[in-house]
Amino acid sequence: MLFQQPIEQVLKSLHSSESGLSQQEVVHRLEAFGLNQLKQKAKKDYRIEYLKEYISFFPILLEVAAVLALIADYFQPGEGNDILAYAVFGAVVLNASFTFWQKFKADKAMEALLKLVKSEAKVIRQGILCTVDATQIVPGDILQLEEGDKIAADAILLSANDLYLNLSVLNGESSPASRQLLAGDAKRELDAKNMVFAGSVITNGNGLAVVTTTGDTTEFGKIASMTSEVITLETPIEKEIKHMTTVLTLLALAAGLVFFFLGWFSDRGLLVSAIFALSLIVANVPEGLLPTITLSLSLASQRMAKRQALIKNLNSVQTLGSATVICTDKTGTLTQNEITAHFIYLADGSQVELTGNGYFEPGECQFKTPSSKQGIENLQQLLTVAAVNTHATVNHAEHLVMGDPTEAALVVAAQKCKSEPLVEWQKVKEYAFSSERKMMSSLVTQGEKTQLFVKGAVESVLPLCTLIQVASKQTLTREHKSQIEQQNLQLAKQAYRVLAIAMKSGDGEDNLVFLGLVGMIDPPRKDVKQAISECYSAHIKVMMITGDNPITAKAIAEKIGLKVDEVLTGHELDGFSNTDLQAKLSSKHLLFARMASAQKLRIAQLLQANGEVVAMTGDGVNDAPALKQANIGIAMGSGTDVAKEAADMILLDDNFKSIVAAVEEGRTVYFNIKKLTTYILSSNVPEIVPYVLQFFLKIPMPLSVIQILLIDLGTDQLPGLGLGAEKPEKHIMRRPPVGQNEKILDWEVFKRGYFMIGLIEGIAAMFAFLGFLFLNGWQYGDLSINDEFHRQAMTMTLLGAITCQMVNVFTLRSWEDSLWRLTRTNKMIWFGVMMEVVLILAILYIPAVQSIFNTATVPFENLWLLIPFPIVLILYHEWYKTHQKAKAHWQ
Amino acid sequence: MRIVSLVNGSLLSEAASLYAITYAKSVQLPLTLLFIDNGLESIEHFRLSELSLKELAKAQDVDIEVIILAGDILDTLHHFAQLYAIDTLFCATRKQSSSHSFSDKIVAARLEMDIAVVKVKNVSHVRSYHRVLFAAGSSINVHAYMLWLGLLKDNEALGKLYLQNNRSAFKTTTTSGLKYEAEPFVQMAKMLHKSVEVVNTLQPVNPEAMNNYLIANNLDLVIYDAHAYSKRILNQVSDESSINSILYYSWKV
Repeated sequence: MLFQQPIEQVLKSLHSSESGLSQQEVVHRLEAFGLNQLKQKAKKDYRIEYLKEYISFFPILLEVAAVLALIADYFQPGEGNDILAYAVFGAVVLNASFTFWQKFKADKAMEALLKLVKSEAKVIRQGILCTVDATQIVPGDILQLEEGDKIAADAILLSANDLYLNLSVLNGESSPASRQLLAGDAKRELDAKNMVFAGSVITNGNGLAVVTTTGDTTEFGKIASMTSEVITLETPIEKEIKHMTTVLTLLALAAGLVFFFLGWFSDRGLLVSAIFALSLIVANVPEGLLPTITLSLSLASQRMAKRQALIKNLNSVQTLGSATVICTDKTGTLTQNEITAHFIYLADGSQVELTGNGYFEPGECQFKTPSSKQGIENLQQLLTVAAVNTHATVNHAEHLVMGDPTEAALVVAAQKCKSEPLVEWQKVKEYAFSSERKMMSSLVTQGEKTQLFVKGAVESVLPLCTLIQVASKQTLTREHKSQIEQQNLQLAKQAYRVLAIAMKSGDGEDNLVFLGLVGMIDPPRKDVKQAISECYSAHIKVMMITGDNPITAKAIAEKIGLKVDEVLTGHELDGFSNTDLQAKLSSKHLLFARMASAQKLRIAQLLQANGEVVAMTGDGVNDAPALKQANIGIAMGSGTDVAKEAADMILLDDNFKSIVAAVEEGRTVYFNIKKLTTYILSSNVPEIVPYVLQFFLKIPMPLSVIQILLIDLGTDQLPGLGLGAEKPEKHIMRRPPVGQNEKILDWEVFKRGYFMIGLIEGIAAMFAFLGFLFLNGWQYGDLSINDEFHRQAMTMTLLGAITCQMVNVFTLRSWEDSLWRLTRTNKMIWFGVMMEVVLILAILYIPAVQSIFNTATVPFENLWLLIPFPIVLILYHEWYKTHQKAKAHWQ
Repeated sequence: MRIVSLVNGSLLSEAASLYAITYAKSVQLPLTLLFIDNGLESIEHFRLSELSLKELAKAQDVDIEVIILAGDILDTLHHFAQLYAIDTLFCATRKQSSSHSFSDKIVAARLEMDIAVVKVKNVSHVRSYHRVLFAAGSSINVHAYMLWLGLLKDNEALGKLYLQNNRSAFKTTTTSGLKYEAEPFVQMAKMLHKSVEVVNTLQPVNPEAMNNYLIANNLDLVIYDAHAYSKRILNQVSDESSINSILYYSWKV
């Protein structure tokens, strides 16, 4: 392998040199090897995407209906079938355009998000250091590596100075990995210590490296390209929409066919029967349902974005409401990902607590034991020793931290306790940290003084100490040692990462003076405990999956109130068969520690096999398969593009609380869609009943098809949308998750929409129609559609249905609470109802509108016919809600 | 007979020649480095490559000769092929296939020799490789098999023989049929003390699944019997892959 060759040979093989490639050669290599970027997903052809909106089951049904109406108009012109055809075509176009627009907007939002991260790299070309777009890097380029850089390609080191990488994007391990010029005994690139990898970040040091591979050929690229193999599951809302459209369409078709044959056999003629059946189908199909659901999902995704959760796929919104398990990372999601020194144990036995979490929150040092002047001096000395012996810098003005997080925590602790200015110490030599030594020392000078400052693991530093700093330097006795070790153990049990601090005059890591211990922790996020408790009330299991050790993971779990029955490590997990692990997953609250990213995929698959709906967080490239597998993959905003690409949702603030907020929104969306489906189905009955009655009773037509479309695509739309935008109900996070087999269009919605509210509305519409006819001297018999009197009666039917829907929308705002108990307002519903009023006035008084919708001005004294049934509707809703409330156990 | 490698001094042609050296060594044939000056290539670059390749060939005991000709590359190759008996011609190609790629023209010219088109994606995997796959299709081409075995022979590389019903899902070949096809070739490899793993699949070729298989199995090189796959599939698989590949076109199928 190339990484095993001497540097000269590596450069020769790559036709490169330490002064880099020529610009001409770069151009050749870009042609040969392509841009340094991951394989781009084939771009969507939006023309085809738009056309697809016309060829699903629902629109096809309407398109066929429109064509039939045109055929009918050809054989029987002047009956208004042409207007019907154009209106139905219009509805299809409106529906398709609207749904497409929402999806297009969501795609563009995602593209914009991914474009935000544009990376650059520093390369040496023709001996000159220049900064180039990372996509322009080619094999043979010489990369200059500096602390904080994200590496642009896989490369072999030519020089390295105290170089450490964070390789977590590749292997999930967060502790920095040291780099050197020798490959070691590695057999493959990923294990080679003289290689750096695309996507990894330099946490410390600097160096030069020659690029070996770019783009998809890098280790990062290889893993990323494999994620496409996982099959993406259909979201519940997709299944639901399929189910709803199938049920409603079959119903519409069945009703149409029944009445077609009834008409045909009762001597109405083929054409008349066909047109009648067609009208019935149009009446039965809720044309406005799909755009309203799409818009409702879109509004929910906008609300979620405000709560820091960016939804990539609108259909995933509702999946969140069904989530039964949240598998979450620890670092950054449950914790702040800002290591903080919280506790200091001084050599004289004093204990000091440091307040303030993270790098930038103000804090101070508080002695927990009685403090003395000597104690304060010892504390300041310890922190000076700890902070000088680091490479980290913390810039409060720019909120910028450079260097290893643990070292940054020491610098912040020194600032909190006002130790002496660090710049006064001059570093002259360093004994670097290594995973074998587990310690680091700096030889420093201040004026004439030369001292060695040491920090490291207790088990590495303590054996090198012979003295201890109490009031003065004393010999470190066995008792001292056992006390220190006991303190160390206690801190470790509480998830503290413990560092021992020591010093001596002069050089050499021996005969050190022990100064004390510093306990550091990545503190839990502020609201995470509350959010976890909300999950438990919402019957959602929370599982922590972390690369950390089991002790730290368990201690953090305790701090944040996470239920843990058993801790499993990645190694133990491998020992379990799928059946055993599945049983454990279903019966216990598990915590997974020392886990590799790849194991997440197995957990997600087994949880799904147990019937759980899994929400899974991740940020590295290795997490991508699990994010794709999960019912809802959640990528961290700070994560890799690959993880974001694979996920359904991106957490902009990486915070667990935002997941819970998103779950709440998901559940709200489910119930909002249920409400608006009930609302839209309700108005179908007053559209169907007039046809059925006209067929059997041979009365004049109570409602024309264009009037049906006016309800479905006009008056119902805005209020329906208002229902879709309803805020979460009081008890939404106390009820169990929405079951995977629970349908939006279930028997309850069907019964309530069609048979209860719908029936009342149907009676209301016919009461208005027949009441108007009888009050105005109608004699039994048919009327022409062009007859003013008939048009007035049809207007009454239309108004009967609309007024009931106006009341219906308010009462449906809550699935559980009485209309009178609703304190929150919904401006969109009010706006929708106002628009309905405007429309009513238009169809009543504007001739141009009347001619389109077959309406006419109705005498004011007849309008009382519209009042009784909306009142009946309110009474029915109130009775139903009280009845339901008695059944709901979660309230 | 001789092995010929077409070299223009580029990184890719030099990398392709490394495979040619290994193959020449295993079949004990001399290697000819052929540079055709068509006015576009740089002789200086070629000279640099020549030095480096000669050094490597010497280290592997491969007889090497250098021939420099001038003129149109295809015409010159035709002429050259008539004068000399050529076993296999190695030539490198750029990453992405296109109808104008030079290797396509060489393949289309129906020269009287086997042609190994080398697509180098990862330069660092050319000098040594650990896992080499031969994607043979549903029946094994002896010439392509020889190249694969030749590249395996002196390396400590693991060989995978990938037999696949590559036509369609409907025109199935049975697994036992594929096993029967592979058996004599496995025996032949055993005689050369190379153990070979045989992978039989009845799935039709799916470039994405194929690439995932290559990555998941840490392969360093894939040899495709180019006649066993359609051009579209071959281009798709080798273009999208992050692994070096050799598309082997045998003269007589």
